[in-house]
Amino acid sequence: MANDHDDFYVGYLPTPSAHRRFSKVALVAVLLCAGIAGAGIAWLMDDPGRGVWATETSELTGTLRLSPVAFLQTAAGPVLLVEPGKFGARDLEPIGDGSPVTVRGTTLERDGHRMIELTSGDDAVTRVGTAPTSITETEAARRVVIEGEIIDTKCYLGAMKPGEGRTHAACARLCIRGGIPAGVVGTADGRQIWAIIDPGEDGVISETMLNAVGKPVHIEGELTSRAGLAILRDARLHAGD
Amino acid sequence: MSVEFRLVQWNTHKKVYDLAVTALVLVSIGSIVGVGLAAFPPPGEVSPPILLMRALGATAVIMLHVILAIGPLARLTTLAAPLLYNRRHLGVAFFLIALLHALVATGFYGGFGHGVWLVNVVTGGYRTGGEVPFELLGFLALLIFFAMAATSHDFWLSFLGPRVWKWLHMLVYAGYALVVGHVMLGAAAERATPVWPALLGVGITGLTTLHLAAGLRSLREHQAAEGESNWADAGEAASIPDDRARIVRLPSGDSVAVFRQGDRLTAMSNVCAHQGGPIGEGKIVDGCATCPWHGYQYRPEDGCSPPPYTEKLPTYSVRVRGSRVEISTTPNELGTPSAAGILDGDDHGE
Ligand code: HEM
Ligand code: FES
Repeated sequence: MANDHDDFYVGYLPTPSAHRRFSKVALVAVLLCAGIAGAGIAWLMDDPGRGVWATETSELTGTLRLSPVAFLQTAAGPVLLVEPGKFGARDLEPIGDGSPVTVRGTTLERDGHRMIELTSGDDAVTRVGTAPTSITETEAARRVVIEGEIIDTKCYLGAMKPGEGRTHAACARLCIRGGIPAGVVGTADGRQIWAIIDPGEDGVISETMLNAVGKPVHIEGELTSRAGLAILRDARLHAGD
Repeated sequence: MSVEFRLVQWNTHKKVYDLAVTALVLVSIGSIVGVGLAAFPPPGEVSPPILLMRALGATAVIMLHVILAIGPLARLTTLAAPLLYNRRHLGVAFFLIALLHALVATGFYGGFGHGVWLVNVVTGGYRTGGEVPFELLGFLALLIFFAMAATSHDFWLSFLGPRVWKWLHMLVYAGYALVVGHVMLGAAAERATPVWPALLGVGITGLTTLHLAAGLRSLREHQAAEGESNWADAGEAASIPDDRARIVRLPSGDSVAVFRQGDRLTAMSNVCAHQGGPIGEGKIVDGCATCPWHGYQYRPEDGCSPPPYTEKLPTYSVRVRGSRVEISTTPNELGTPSAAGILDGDDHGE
């Protein structure tokens, strides 16, 4: 019986040596190809940016601002406020725009832009005084065409890395629909731009704008600022984007 | 052949095969995660779930290429038969890796917010315009692979019948096309470097070449010339190697394996009752024609598998005219003994 199959492979009989050799060579070749392809795929990933999401809870004091999105006005610049998960800040109207507050949460920061993810307890935002502070518009509105991308600010600032681009767009839309401020990053007239897109009355940017999240676009609007936060008002996409 | 022997050896082979599959998964995921961690140190790191998701997706794509290469390779050389023997395991492992990729992707990108995590991602985040969400293509591919993995067991083969089963499993090519679309519209469109188009280009070219080469080979089969009423010429009898077969295509289009055992010539369908393997590329083992793919066996005299197995293949009557072998152009009734052709004393052997 041994001679019957010495040059022929049957799964339930001992494997002939030629077949054994072929299988070994094939396995080594496949492992080599997989290792090289895998290394290439990983080595050639895009730079996910330098966003950092702190692991420790911290406290920040400043002035609460609720328009056009919730943020904290501080001496060191504006800090966006959001909830855990893919949700914008809770209803802070009862505390009121302009109130001095202390907020508790974990900070996200990228390229000097900051956000704090509030802790889930009731004490995440507490009023620390009575006197409301007024704001002066520091920058006159100017018309710009920004070449860049619409992003959800939470993922972009470090909740996910990368937190931008096509592959992340489904997540970004979920975040923006959940109330996380939509932003635009890019350039206008050769200058770097980072601005929050004014969501208007609805609280969420338009469906057209949502569809364009994560793609390279031209977006036009009035660039202005409120309490240090750059804002793009009356934003609209250029045709074709 | 005893049933017991079959089980024991099958297990050893299965173990070695599963080890090889595991090695492939580990090398692929390991190289991506390893290089990804080393090349992107904090604070410029890729989030671990995203790195893992990418590693799983890429590993699934690599495994899919191996799976699709094995079929034509086995038709080109019988040396590749051991790779084919447990390909089902590779198929199921591939599905599980792709499923894990989809779970991490939908969980991370679709979870933690409003709505259903799966729907959130598969609809591209409820996008209402523009091109098809690349995630949807991945989802459709995964559905196909699920159907295949779930029906990979031989129970389903006999339950659905070979035709439906084969049809279902040909959908793997549709799945492959969907995966290519998923990667090209997603990761490839996003990345600054064309690493994915390059790799997929190599993969598609390689697979096409293998399939074309295997297809050309089956065109080279012996075409049986129509002879006198109901008999077709199947070539020189003596040039069929002992215990081996020549594959002959009848004018009707049927493919027939003509076996020679010493001076006896017999013929049966070339299409294995299991998964349609080429019996004629097999060999006589223990007196039975043995399929090169998974070793199903058939008795040359009546086309029946030896007990306890119950598969049957159609046989064809054979006669010898001078040095030529001739086969009947219509098959015998299933399971009935068939006429063998006998060579004259000095006509055979090499
Ligand atoms: C429900 C099904 C699926 C979903 C939701 C899905 C989702 C995704 C997402 C979101 C990405 C982008 C990841 C990123 O870079 O951020 C991706 C990439 C990818 N997917 Fe899928 N996928 C699915 C099925 C599949 C299947 C079946 C395969 C292959 C067999 C596959 C292979 C890949 C590959 C190779 C990548 C590129 C990874 C890289 O960036 O290098 N996916 N998928
Ligand atoms: S096809 Fe599986 S044994 Fe023939």
